[in-house]
Amino acid sequence: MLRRDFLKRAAQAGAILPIASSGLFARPLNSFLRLQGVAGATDRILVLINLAGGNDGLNTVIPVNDQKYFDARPTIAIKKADALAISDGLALHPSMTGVQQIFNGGDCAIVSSVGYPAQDRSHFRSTDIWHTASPADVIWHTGWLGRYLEALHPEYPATLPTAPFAMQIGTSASLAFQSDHGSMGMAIDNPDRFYNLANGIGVKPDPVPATLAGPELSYVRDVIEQSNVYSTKIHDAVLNAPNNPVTYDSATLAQQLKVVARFINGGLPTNIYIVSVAGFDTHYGQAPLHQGLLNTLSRAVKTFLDDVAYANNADRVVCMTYSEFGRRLNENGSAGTDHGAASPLFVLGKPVKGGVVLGGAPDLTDLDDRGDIKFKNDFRQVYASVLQDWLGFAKDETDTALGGSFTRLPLFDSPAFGVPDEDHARMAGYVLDQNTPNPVRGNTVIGFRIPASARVRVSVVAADGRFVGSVVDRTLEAGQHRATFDTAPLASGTYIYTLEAGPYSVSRRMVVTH
Amino acid sequence: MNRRSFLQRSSAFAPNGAVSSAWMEPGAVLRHNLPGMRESVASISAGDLTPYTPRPDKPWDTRRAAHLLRRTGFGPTWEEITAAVGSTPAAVVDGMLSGAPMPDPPPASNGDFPWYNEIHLSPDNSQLQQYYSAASTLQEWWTALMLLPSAMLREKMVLFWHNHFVSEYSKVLVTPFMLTQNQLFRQNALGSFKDLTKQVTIDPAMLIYLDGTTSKAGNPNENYARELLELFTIGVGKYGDGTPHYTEHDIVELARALTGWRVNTTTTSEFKPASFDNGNKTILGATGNFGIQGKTSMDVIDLIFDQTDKDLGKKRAAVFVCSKLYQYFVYDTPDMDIVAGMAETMAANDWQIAPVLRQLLLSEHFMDDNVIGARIKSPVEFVLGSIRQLHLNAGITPTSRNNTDIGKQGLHDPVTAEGYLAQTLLAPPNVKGWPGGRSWISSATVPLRIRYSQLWIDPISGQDGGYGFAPVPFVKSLPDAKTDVNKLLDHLLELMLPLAVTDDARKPLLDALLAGGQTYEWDPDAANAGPRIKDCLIAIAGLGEYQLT
Repeated sequence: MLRRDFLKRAAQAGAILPIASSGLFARPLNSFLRLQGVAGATDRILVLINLAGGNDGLNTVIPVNDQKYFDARPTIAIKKADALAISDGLALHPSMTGVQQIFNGGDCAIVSSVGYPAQDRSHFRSTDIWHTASPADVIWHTGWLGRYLEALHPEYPATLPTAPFAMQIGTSASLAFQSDHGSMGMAIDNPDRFYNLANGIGVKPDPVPATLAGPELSYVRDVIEQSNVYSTKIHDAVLNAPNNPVTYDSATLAQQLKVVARFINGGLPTNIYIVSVAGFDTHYGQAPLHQGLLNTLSRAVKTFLDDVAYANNADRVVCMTYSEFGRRLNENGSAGTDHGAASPLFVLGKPVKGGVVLGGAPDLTDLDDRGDIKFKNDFRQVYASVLQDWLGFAKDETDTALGGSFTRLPLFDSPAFGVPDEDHARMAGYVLDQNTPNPVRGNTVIGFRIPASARVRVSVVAADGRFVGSVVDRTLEAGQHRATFDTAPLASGTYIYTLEAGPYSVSRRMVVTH
Repeated sequence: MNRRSFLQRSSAFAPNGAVSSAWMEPGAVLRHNLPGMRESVASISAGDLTPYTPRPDKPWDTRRAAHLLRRTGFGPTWEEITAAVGSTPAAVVDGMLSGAPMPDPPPASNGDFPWYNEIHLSPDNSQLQQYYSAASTLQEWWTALMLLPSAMLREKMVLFWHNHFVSEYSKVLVTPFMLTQNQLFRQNALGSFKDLTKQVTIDPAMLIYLDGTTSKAGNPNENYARELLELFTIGVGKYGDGTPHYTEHDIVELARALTGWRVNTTTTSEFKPASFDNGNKTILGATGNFGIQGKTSMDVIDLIFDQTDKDLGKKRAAVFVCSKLYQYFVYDTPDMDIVAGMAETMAANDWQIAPVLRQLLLSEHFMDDNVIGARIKSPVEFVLGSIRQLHLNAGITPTSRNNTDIGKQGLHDPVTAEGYLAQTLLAPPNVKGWPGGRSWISSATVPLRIRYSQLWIDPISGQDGGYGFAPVPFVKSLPDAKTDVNKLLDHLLELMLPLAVTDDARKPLLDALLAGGQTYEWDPDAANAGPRIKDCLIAIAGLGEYQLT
């Protein structure tokens, strides 16, 4: 029922696309694939790991060949000999052997120097920025995942799902889940206790007073109601989860991920999870604290991925870390580090196109006015990649959810569901040039590039979707090509021309004037 | 009403998720609330700061007296409510604001370790164990103080300051410093916000918590400087004209001015001139050799408190702390007209808290029906309120330490219960403190709250063990208990809920008391009255209204 509603919506959204009259690559096929892909999205799982306090990225992914790093951190720099090499000039903190193993196995990508323009150095404000995906100078009230889930589930909350869309393991749900219809996620800390407690509750709806107390009372009642609705489903998932031969540490993060693994392996149809570990605000005596935190993180993630792999869920699960900011290059006088700017994040799991550090080593010669790492990758680029390429969310809806269009990063082995859009095409090396001249009367030249030999079709449709002409339709070698198209038979107006090759397609506009 | 229409109706207010961080900055707290809700607020007349005058349509009655006592304490008993009704609002509030004697420090921990005199800056393992033990003694002692009727408002303000000038035990570790800070809050609970800020700035626990004690000239630690501006005095944000309340540069310079203070093995800190940055700094537009060079000369704190809120024309630090006081005592979204009035009162009274609270608590605004029951109970309010209102015995006093009996009944002691509900004293989640409001209520905490209520009223043993709830004596302490079961139920509801319930909701509660009998058959001394009273109370505690105050 939920899925059908969504398909219906997606189909309506697809109706604005031009529909070519025929051909292997015609739009209806793509739309069909896209819907297939959307249906598949419900199986995919994203686990976010919040490193609260501002993780020291420079001591996590260490620029071991950069003398500036060692000069700036006389007491807390990690020696190159101790660090775990992963790529040219970069090495992981010595306690992260688990992550190193995952990285070397090709299942971990590191996105370096992640941040946003006008970095805010308040823990709370910057955490809110990460959770809402707002620009730094604007306060948004809803979260990035809340907006995604709200668009995906327009029937909520009139119709409640059988399981929560999203869950935070802890006592309160993240702002990231917040939508205009309330939180799209729920908090749960102990599934056994939750079930036992929730089943003891009964609530009789009653009108609320028309005072300030009314909304608060409605809120409390809604939470009580939801606690009841989901309790059996959650309990069943926990009971169904197999006991895999893995052992989690007693650390809070490990125990949180253990709960997530039980939900996933037990078949709970929840797609988004957030876990959180605090303590990264290492202003003082950083070395032992940070060592412990990264050790906990690395071991917990490794155990968790092993756990889901045992239950044949490895293909469905991706983890991603995030932290509100990195820390300053220069250590302070307390053998610690103060609040900084950009820092790396980890994307882990079998579907990840791993073994790479996107963005390479941080540039320690080009710092901002506080002496902090400038960002190379906007965190919303990572969000866009995750929403589109992992969760299979449509590009236009992703742009809406994130409040803008962000260039995606090649984080996944195969972009979502084999229905790539223009960003995928561009990343894969397919380029469609603007036609010249444009506007055009008569002949115009259309240039394009393909990265490999392929059957290529370039066709033109009118603004109303009517097919008006084929420019190219044959197999071509890799490289740059040109084709000429005669617009003389066409009426004045705007037309769309599309390059289609394999699963990829790219479109541009041309204007015809007579 | 079916669930669908229920949800549609309630979605007019769009229930907000339990967000993980509230924002105390006035312009930003709105994000907890949605536009529809804001409009509904604006349409309701809510009174202003003019003194409340009892009158027929706004009487000083059980409901309003209970409101005042709930907000200023930790759950009033029936006796306290009736005593207040028999007095005047002003007399009740003045009684709360009058000084109460400072309590003796907590009792020594196990083994007669006089822990509050022994300070080890780098405790070894056995000293750490003693500090841990002492910290739980401190939690229990403080909780026991909150349960006493003598200084409720003061203790409620100690909790306010603990959540304003946050220090987490897990970093400070030296329990004597946590006690010193706790007593500092108590001594200054209703006094000058500015003086308290000065004392907190050189308070040993705070110097450790936000790294002041390692901050030195030439390489200052920014931690305290940032939070002093962001969370303690000015608040992050921008004025209406787009200028920020302060800049990153102000933090850098302020960090220099705050250098030089060190903790030592006493409960006071000391100034080390060699560590102080003795140069000129430019902070908030003023240039000079600012610093904290002695306990009386804290020109840098004066400078911060001199800042004016460009939008409201009041002292910015007064606006900031008054909006938090408003949230603590009235409602989660500050009414900025009221806050501006409070800030003016604060400025006119040399930053004293007491006159501000007196004005607020005795105002038409505070006494308005609109705000009654509009706050969600914090875990401390929830746990201690249940204990006080139901005459439970929590097994703790400020002078002894004996909660073991409760443990044997399979029930948590109050401190542990508060922790399970996400509010462990001495352990706020981070330097910003507990966000409060709706964040207290989630699918993780609400089922547990309701379960605790059930166990307090009806322990698993089936006896009146646990917290020692005695249902029959409890109802017989209320008027009309023997003669009129309907009136008895009204009193129970007035005591336990801040909002009236409808007849539909009331009926099953009466049915629970009567268990199928007729009203004239009611007899609290009947053999089976106890279980029926318990059923009724458990049903009341299961209502959403019971989570409000």
